[in-house]
Amino acid sequence: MKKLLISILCLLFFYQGFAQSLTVTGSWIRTLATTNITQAGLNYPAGNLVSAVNQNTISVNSAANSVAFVSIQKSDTSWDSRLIISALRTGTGTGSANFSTTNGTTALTITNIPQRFFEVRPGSGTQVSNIPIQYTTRGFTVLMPVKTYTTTIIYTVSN
Amino acid sequence: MKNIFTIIFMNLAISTFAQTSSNVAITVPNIVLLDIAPDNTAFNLNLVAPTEAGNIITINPGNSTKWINFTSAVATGITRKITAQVSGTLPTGINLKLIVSNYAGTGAGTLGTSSGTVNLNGTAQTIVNNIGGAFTGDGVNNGYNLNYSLEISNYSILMSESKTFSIIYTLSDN
Repeated sequence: MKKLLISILCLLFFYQGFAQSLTVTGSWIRTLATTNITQAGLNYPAGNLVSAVNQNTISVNSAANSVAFVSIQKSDTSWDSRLIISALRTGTGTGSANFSTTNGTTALTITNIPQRFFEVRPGSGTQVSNIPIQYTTRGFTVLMPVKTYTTTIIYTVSN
Repeated sequence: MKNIFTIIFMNLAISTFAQTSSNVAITVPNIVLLDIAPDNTAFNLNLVAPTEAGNIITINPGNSTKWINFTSAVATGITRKITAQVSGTLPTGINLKLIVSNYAGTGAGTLGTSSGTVNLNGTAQTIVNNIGGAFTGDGVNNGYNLNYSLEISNYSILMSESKTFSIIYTLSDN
């Protein structure tokens, strides 16, 4: 009996250790155009710097017929508190029969605290791939020191 | 045995998760923009000859219609200055005096400090210093007002003449 329970325990760890995973491809590297300032005396316009609609693509692996929750947060390397970055899911990705991707279609301001971004249901398969993500950044000002501002966007999948 | 069940239930209760990440890097570039508002059109400064022998030459009022506007983005530790110099030849016996106001307008940032009054000549002189990341606002009533006037420096060499010259403003790193 004891051996059976230990085996179940090991299986649970094994199963759960590999039950869910995700991968992200792409990064977003940009230089602001100096032509954004059209006249001496002006600051950067209030508009947004917008990435490609598929700047990142995310693939989520999860058990068939399960629900996987994808959260997002950032970890700043060299960031400025005046900069606000948000993420938007711009498509559903691809998957097996009856897969679905929900939520995340309204821009979400990314903070250093994890927030639920969207959900994936792989349907009959175990993966939903190529979910496109677009980023938007605003808050640029010439008062910020000239340099490269970097942050790491962290995605977490959980059940 | 009881402990093993506890471990199993604990394990079931804990959600599994996995993480991955992507990098974002946005470069804010160096910006150096300077212009004269409302425009850089020419204006006249005149001395008026007296109508009575023995009277002094009259100096007409100066011109204060021009403003310097700028936008500056700098790396940490960098400051900038604006210099002014005459391109061309001033009339003999005449000083061209420039009074630079304190900053005024709708801008923000490290806008620098006026040098006050300078007599312009062919050598670049600092008129605003210690500018950092800043923008003055655009158009008249934004930035630093420029008041030009003439002074007679030496009556003995005054000549009846008309001169046209330019004043060059430069925004550069210290």
